[in-house]
Amino acid sequence: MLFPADFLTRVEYLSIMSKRVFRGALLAQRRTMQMGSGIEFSDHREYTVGDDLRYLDWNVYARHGDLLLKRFQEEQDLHVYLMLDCSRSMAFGSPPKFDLARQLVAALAYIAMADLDRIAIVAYADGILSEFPLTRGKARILSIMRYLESIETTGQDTNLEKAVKGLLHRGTRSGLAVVISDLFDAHGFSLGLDQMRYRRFDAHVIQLHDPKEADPALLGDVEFVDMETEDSRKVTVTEKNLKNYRRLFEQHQSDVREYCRNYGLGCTQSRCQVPFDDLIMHMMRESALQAS
Amino acid sequence: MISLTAPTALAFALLALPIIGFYILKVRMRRIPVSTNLFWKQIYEEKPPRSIWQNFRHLISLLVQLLLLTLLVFAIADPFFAWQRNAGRRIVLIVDHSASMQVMSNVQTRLQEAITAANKKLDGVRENDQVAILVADQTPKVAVGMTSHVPTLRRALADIAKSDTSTYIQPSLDLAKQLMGDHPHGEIVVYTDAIPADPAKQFVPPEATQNSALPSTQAAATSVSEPKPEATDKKESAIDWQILGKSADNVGIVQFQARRSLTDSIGYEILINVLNASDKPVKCRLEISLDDVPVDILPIKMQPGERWTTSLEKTSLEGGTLVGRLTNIALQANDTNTNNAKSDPTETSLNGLLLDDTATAILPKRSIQKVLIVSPGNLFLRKAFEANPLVELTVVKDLPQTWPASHLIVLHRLVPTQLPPGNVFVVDPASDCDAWKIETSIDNPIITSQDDASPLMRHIQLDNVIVPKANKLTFTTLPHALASSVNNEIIFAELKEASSTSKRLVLPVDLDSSDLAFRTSFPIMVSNILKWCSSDRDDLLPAQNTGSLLSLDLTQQWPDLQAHKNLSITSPSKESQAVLPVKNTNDDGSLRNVLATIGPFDEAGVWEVAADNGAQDKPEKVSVQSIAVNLSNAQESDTRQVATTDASPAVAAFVSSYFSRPLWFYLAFLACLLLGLEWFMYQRRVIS
Repeated sequence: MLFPADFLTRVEYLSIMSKRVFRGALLAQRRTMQMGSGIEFSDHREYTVGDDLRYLDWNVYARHGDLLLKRFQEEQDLHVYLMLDCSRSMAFGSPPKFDLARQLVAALAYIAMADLDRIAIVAYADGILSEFPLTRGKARILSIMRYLESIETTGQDTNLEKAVKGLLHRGTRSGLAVVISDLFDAHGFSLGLDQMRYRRFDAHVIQLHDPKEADPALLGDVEFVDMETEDSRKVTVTEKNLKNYRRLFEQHQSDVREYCRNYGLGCTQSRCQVPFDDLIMHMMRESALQAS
Repeated sequence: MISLTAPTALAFALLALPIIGFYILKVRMRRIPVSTNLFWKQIYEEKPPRSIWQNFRHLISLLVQLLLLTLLVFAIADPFFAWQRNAGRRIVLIVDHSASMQVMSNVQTRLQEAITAANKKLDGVRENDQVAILVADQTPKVAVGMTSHVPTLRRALADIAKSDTSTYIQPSLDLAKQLMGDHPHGEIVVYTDAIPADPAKQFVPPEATQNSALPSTQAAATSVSEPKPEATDKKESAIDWQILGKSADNVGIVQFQARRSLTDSIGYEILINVLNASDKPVKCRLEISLDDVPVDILPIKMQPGERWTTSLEKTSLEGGTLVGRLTNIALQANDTNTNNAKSDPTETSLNGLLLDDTATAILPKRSIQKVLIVSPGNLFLRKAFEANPLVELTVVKDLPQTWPASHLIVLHRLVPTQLPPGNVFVVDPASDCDAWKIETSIDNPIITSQDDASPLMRHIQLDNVIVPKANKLTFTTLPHALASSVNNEIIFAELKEASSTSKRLVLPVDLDSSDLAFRTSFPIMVSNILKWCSSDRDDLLPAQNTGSLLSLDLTQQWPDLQAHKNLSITSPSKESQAVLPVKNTNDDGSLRNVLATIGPFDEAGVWEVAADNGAQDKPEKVSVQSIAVNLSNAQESDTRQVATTDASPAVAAFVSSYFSRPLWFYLAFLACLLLGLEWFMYQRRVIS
């Protein structure tokens, strides 16, 4: 069962813990840098024709005779985009990485909605496969869970960049983007993340992997079958090959960490056997440490 | 043509079917789904994913496995060539187990090395070969006769025990040649530790001179000489000499003999010969003890190869086991190269052979002999007996009423009508008795014949000696004339009585008027009489050499032995074997002697001839004769006599053991190699 009976209880606990830990740093209400119709004063500017007279600062006019318009900082609710990798490679592992990914999406969505943020879920593989539109309110969690349960792994060519571009082309407002994937992207995981950065998204990467991917216990004559492309490759695996494989895998993980650190992206790498709430708690602590 | 010993073993070739089946299963690779091929692509992009060799690898693997199976099947079938059937060898292994084979060589004795080498030789024994094992000795021992059953041969080799005997190879070679017969593929392999470079000097006999100082009767008991091998022997070329061991220094006693003193009745002389068989100057101590009581300690210093000889004169009435022991063997202090070793009292590097550090000799107990002289008075007669320290002399002038027992009764002129019981020596009888009658007086008889074989005439030469005055006696029984005149008149006689064991002698010579020649021989005659009448066996039996045979004269002990049973001899290691005495009689039925052949002595030390006392209630062994046995062989003690280090024998042994095996061995060996190749190729996967 993807969502156990106590899932919501554990998620609610995480929500409470997030308020205590983050204090709005991650998913709470945020002030944007945009000026607008908020209630908190920001500065003045000269009046121009056509401006709303309601925002004239009459006190200044009375004292100095200048027509100045009061500006307020606009307060917006945070848009959280949860990008779920639905490629077939996510079906690998025991339990499959996809299960943990969906549990994480549901949990993060609940926490965000509990903080009055808006969340959207984007399932992608070769491109955007499906989308759970922006929504708010904790009551929507059940719909989200049903939606997540309905998603299956598919696709033959994982492309994060294409998915991100598809998201951006819709005029999506920037916000927090959480990418939950194994980042086994033949086109390169950085291209999609670059697009997010360019559009001022606050990105956070949750990279999942299975221990068998990190250290495959394979020796001898085998035929590898790529779960995504279904390409097969007959090889003879030797100790030397295994050593090289482990080196390359670790290099890939290291590249992801290095990229995120260089561009200020949050990064969480985990095995798929870790419980979702433990992983989220770990993320919270990491963020709290960085904030402090 | 190749034939198979077990053609039914070819049925094992059916195992090829499962091998091919497994091969087909093996070619079908496991399909393993992976989340991504990204990393594997990077790994295998560096070279072609499957080279031609790899493509054929499985097929080669199958061929290797089938070849492996073929080799194993043929190995089990035990093939052999036609020439092998016709060319079965006949091999005789001669193992020298002499004393010098006890020398340690590395971690093994030379004998153990010989057994190991012989076992290696057995590794190369083929199906049709016949092998016999002889243990080299004076009388060769057949450890196992001609057989091709290798386990039996190995057991026989394992059972070969060390021996303290000298090296006797030639008798074994002779026997080996007899076993070989006219076989066209005969081979004799001798495992020994020493062979001179000059074949003409092979196995020279033990010191021919070592017993030269002994009486002739003693020399007869020394070891039998080793004959030289015939250099022109046509079979000589088939003899493979396997020289074992490495050169070792040694210091040992090569001669240790004791004999009675010629001048002192209770004295004895020891002849000692110590050999420094090393290339270094050596010092040591020779400790001599008699029944564990120290007799003498002699410091000895010897130059390389020197033989140290000495003789000692000692006295002992009690006798016992005389032991000479070399101790504190060390390099001499003035040797500049031996600063460290000289203080070590247990310098084993100088003492390769421990056996010859100790030598023994048996010194019989001398018993006091009681003599009663009944004489009106003759100082010369009395002094002749008094001169012997073993004599307890009593002199009376009149015939006693009763005759003491266990006495030698010497009657001078006074003769009772009936001779007393026991041993009696009558000198110049003046009256008749039951054994003789005095006829006339003889003037100046000339002694013309004497019984030189009699122990009573030992060291006495009376030929042509004129006795001034004597009596002519007429004996009631025929006496044994020990000395008689030209007219066959008895001058000295032994009176024989078939029904009595008493010894009776008569010398009808007037001592007072005898001349110098007779007076000179008379004390010797007295000494012979005392020795002859003595119940003890006072002849000193010389120490025997190991490997020798001894013909033991038990004549004197025979009356006692008749009451005893189970005569046996016990070795120093307490192993007993029965002794069967042989009784020899004269033509008249009288006992001539009782002889027992003992030996060969294969162990140094004191051997004990004993018999049961015959008592029903308290049976126990009664010692009859102790026999000292020593190595006493300079050739054995010289453990340097090893062939110089030469790799060729080892190479030859290697070649003979590893390249003369049956065909199945090589097939199995090849199969093992292929198995290793298969494992190397596929378990380690070095190809990819």
